[in-house]
Amino acid sequence: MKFDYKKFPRSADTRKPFIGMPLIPIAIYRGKESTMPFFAMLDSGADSVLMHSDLALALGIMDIKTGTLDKTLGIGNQVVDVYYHDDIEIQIVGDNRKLQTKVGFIESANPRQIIPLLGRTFFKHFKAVIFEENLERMELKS
Amino acid sequence: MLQGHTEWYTDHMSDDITTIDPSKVSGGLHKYAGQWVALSVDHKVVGNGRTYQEVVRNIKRKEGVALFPIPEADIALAP
Repeated sequence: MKFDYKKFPRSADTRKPFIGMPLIPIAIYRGKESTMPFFAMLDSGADSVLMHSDLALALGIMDIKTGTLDKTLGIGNQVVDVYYHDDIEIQIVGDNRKLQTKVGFIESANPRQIIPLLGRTFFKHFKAVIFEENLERMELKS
Repeated sequence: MLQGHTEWYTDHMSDDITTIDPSKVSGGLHKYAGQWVALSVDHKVVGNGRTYQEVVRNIKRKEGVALFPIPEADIALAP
């Protein structure tokens, strides 16, 4: 599966160039509950799959703390409490497989700071994950 | 509070949403920086909100629509 990067404005100043982001369309499932399709970022620097607790609520997880706590270190050396749930499946739009993946949820007073990240525990479902940065596209090889 | 959904969404989700191009939204998306927006296959904003739950509540239609987290303007991303 190949996907082009999605381009967003970097600034309100429209003269500034857009930035391409490696986002792919997914939906997540827990039993019969699911989210609407949304775009999440492929992140080779993240160990795991991380999302805001707001998405957990959409899957019927009323308290993310029922998951397994694992403290996670961010780029700014800040430690964040992440609660992992292993009963979640991720489906890429256009692919009929649902991929069982442990997902870590984070509570934050500022949900906008958290773009859903598909880290390397998600990459393991594929033979290769290729970023073609110059072409602003990526490929997930099964 | 809005909670989970049934598989309705994904039963009806179309491959076409992979072609949604945020850079083609008329008027741009900078005013939605830091929010979630719902974009349709014809590159129109059909809902927005501070959280996933909020945008789903506010969405005007659900078929042929996908949600995007819009990055903050003027701040580089290093998750």
